[in-house]
Amino acid sequence: MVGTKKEIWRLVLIVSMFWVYTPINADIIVSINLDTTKWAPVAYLSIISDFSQINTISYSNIIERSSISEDGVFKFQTNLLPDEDRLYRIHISKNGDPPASLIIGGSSHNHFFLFAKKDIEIQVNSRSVSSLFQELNMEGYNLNTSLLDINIMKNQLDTFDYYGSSVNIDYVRNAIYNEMRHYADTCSLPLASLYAIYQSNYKSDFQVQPDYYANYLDKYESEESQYFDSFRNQLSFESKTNWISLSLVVLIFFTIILSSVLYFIRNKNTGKNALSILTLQERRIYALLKEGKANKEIANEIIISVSTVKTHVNNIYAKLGVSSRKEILDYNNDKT
Amino acid sequence: MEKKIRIISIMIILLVISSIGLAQEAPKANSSQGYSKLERSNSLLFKNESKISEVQVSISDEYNFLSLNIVCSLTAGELLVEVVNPKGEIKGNYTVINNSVITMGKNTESKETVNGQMEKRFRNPSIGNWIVRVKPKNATGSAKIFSTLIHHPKADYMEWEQIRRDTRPNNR
Repeated sequence: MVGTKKEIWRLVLIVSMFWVYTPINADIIVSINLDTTKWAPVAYLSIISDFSQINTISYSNIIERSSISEDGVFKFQTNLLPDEDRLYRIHISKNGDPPASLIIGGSSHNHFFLFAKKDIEIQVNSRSVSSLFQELNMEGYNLNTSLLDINIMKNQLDTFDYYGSSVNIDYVRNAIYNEMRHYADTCSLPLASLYAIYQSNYKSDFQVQPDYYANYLDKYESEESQYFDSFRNQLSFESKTNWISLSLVVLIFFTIILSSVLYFIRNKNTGKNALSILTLQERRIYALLKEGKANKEIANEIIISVSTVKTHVNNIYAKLGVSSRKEILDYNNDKT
Repeated sequence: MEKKIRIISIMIILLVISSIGLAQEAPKANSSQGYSKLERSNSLLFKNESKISEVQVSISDEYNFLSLNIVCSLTAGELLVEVVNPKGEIKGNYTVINNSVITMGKNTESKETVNGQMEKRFRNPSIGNWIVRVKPKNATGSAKIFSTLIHHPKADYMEWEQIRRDTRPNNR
């Protein structure tokens, strides 16, 4: 009896160890309608390390490839993926195109995104006939449910769907951005929340309401994912750029003020200096000109010839930068 | 009498000239179909290039539909493509990076190409100069920009494929 018990326990232990250490065959399984006259029967899985790089194509991002069966099914194993949630892109190239080939928009749009991590099982279906990955259905991971919700909002931003004047487009677009930010605020999944922020034109909005983003970062202060680190760095950069711009504006403003003051002072001094460079005789004639006296009157008063008066008057005009008697009458000793 | 004949002759000549002018004015829209289309393409070639290039697409109130298709192919370097509307807003962008090198033999190197393509369509696009900006970084490759401006009386209600079919040359 004791021997039998020992054997049973040994068996249980072996089975348990087998169960614990046997790798799980978890896959991302995708099923699509593939037109092989247009598309090569190979799918590629790329890792997206930063939400700002979802539209970047590079060989270094491609981590796996999978052949597509005749009925349009392919899969990627997830047992070698990182433990943490990451964003991935799956794309298919056209016949004749290189493996690294990204098509955005139009009927040949050739990719879609999904969140995944180690040992997760995800089922993706697209039975669209007109394009590869339209009307996607994803099951198995709640992060992707949120991703699809956000992408539905994002697709509404495509101006092709707008019917109306450009004024209405701006109104609708801002409403959708606000909806995305509301989604980000209320979503319980940090990565999905951040993805929504990225789709909501946050760089422009950051200029308008920086406090919102400061509060957002406070809320997710403990999130250590590389996506949040990148977002924090980006906002820090935007903030620094704002300070630099503000400093430049203030500097330019003060430069203008200072230049105006210096110009005013210089001209004030110039006015006084201009009068002081008149000779004694010229000053005497200047005073008589200010009284509105004619050349002959001046000549009689100072007892010089009229021609001499005219010469002095011309010199006075030149030195003070005026060209008529009227300007002399208006000439203020304290200004030019 | 002579003067009267001269005046009448001048008036007739002026009438004839203005009629000729009206007849020669190219119709902006096909009067029988009610739509017009303007297609244009620009090609850019890069060889270890880092200088920014811009292609301008001018939109007047004549057109109510704009389609932009930008196709890039890179054998080396990086390329950033942006579509910017007259207000300076970026309406779409993508980046192509090629840092791949495949060594085939002792003295042979081969490079895989990296392709990028973006198609953007705008209904009632903002009037003004749209810009397709291409920012290479030590890039070797090419970029082709295809722009289509359409005036279609029912553009507000039709899908792009239908508009494209309607405005095909053999449909006129």
